Amino acid sequence: MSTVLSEERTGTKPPAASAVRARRAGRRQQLLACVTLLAPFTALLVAVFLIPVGYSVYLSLFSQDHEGLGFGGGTTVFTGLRSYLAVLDDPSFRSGFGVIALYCVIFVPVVVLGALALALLLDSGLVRLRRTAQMMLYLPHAVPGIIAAVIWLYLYTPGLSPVIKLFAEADIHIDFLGLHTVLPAIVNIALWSGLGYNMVIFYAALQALPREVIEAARIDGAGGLRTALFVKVPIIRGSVVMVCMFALIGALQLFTEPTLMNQATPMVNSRYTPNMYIYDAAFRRNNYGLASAASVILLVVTCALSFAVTRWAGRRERSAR
Amino acid sequence: MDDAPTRKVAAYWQRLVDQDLVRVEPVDSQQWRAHLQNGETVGYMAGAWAAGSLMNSTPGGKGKWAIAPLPQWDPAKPSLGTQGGSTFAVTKDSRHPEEALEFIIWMVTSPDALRAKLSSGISSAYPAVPALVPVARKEMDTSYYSGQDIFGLFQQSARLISPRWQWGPRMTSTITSVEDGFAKAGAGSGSIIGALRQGERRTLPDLKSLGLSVTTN
Amino acid sequence: MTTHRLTSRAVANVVVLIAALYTLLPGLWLLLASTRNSDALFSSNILDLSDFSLWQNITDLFSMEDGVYGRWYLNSLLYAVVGALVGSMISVAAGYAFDKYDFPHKEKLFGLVLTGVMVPPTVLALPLYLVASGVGLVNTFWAVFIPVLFNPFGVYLARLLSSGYVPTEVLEASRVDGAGELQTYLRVSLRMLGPGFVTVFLFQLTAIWNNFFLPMVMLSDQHLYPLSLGLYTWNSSATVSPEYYPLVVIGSLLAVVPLIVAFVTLQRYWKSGLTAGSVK
Repeated sequence: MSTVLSEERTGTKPPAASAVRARRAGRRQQLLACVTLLAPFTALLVAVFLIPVGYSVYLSLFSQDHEGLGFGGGTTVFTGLRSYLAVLDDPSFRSGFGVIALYCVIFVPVVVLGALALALLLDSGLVRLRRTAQMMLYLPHAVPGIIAAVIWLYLYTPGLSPVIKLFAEADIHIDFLGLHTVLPAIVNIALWSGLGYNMVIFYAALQALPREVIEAARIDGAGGLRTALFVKVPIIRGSVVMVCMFALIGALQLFTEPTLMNQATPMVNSRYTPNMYIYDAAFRRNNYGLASAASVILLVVTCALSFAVTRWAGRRERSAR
Repeated sequence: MDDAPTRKVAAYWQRLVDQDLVRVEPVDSQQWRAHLQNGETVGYMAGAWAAGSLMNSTPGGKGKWAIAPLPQWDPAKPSLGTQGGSTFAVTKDSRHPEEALEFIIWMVTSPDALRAKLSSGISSAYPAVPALVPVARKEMDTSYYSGQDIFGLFQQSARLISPRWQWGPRMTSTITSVEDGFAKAGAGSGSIIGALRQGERRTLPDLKSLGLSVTTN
Repeated sequence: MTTHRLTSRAVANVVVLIAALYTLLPGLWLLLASTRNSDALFSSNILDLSDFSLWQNITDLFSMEDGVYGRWYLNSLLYAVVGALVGSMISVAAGYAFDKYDFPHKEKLFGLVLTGVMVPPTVLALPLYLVASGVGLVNTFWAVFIPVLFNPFGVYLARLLSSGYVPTEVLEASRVDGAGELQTYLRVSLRMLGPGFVTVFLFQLTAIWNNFFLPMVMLSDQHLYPLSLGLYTWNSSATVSPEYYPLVVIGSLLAVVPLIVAFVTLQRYWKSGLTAGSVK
């Protein structure tokens, strides 16, 4: 938004030269203020975002060359795409994406549908103690991720967990940390943390809906469920897409919960997700070229995914009109 | 990593796993310790250091355990591998490298050091210096093992270790991959030989990215 | 018609009740488990209140390892509260600038900011580590503090809130009065942005408090750990030394309670931020 000169508002014309001088001084002052306000953030942008990303790309093009049996230090050489090829060739990196894909298939529908259902229920006016319910459902968001994971891990650990004890008394034995149950167990932690947060987003969007539309639907004879599904949901489509996208991006970054599980059960290995692979490559295998290449690949995939989802949503939006 | 002798060993253990004669669980995990303390574990394979570890984790097992040599494929040509061990290193940016080295030498070669270690009751470290073995035999309190001469047994076994086997570069990473596969095999998904092959496949990208030329055969 | 409405009500309330119970279950367990001592934690019935060791657990917690837990708490407060304060000041200033001023390549720069939103902190952590180790800042307070100040979403949010809360007429009036731009910002605009500032602050606070990967990567000195990393370390030792289990439990409880209190009291700021961000 540009500034409006006072002369245009009052309608009088002061002498030309001093007006120009005043204007220039005013603009210069504004520019100065703008730069001052933007400077700290821009400095951070460069130092904490652009430089590391650039450095990461640079590092991914270099690697250590070892000779002979690979013992002893190596010499750093330019290797071009060698690290990238090694990463893409690595079954443990690819399987990480496989795990994420499976995780998304389970997690995203459940969290989106669950949050949407709860938001619709709260919006429908059928629920008592709405504010209390909303606040309670939202509280897990205040719990830091690793602590939520630790609490649930203890609830999954035989010996510590009252849930397992309860089941055992009914003669049901579930191993929450077994080979096929560990991924749903991780999904559960993310679901517990994310349900309330997404519900609040949907609820806010629903509250912002024009009441006339809902009234119109009711006059047309649509029941509560009908109204909810066919009137409300399509209108807040934008929020739904946004929530899905952030859930997907979050899923790609999965690190905290599996890292904790990795300590607790052998069914989650140290390269279970792409982020764990990167951490493992950098800090356990000390292979920075590999780790950087993997980081860049993950970054590209994340950006591509968000770009694709936004584009797809935009196209749907346009065709819907 | 799946040559003929490896396949033979893998097949042997696979049979035992399939017949539910062995339990596959992580060492020093909660289940592991619970099984030991409840007397549900008959035996396990480990290095010499594990004698002290067992004494520490399962005090209630005193007098109930003994140590036996590993069975041999061919008793006429016995041979053993190793599991675990310790090394000591001084880092490049150590501020007192000479003093550190001096301490390490003392810790590894001095009978006093060994005595101190063994008297803690939780260590059964087999000394790297052959001359210290008699010291260990004398000093170690083996009442937990009903007075068995465990260091004598360790000494005999140590002589059988095959010197022809060598760790590869990035071995810890390979071992981790192999162990992941073992865990899954124990849970019924995949096999032991599959775990070894997977460990090989997962090591190759690392080695290649470090400029090492790798041949697989 | 009425019975239909009654059943709808019943179903709706039951569903929400189940969801609420699901949400509360871990918290409830945490509360009860914090009152157990080490042995009771593993064996006895969780609802048996006869052995109340809450204060004992708290004492043990703060005395373990020379009070390192207290150190972790302080660190978390520094990283999260001070970091969010400074960070949101920076973000709000930048968002305001984007909103109120024009300059060449403005939208391109803003596009870069939006890219920053898309890039999750985990992808940046490793490169940051490598840069920091090149500069010699690894394993210091600043290694975690400086990166967490960067909050592109805060800038995006601040721009939205600035256009909502601070009308341009106010700026005009201030200019006519002869006040300098920065004076206007500090004296007039910030005051009007008040609630928006709190929103940005809360978002950043949560993000920093939740950030696990960055401290894990940057820090090896336990005395610099935030709470999350410290508790994680204790949990790692717990399999070998079970006396850590009750400490992790009570430690988690004490870590979570202030956050929950803060959230409950400041929830309306949250809602406004989420509304502004989602209803674009």
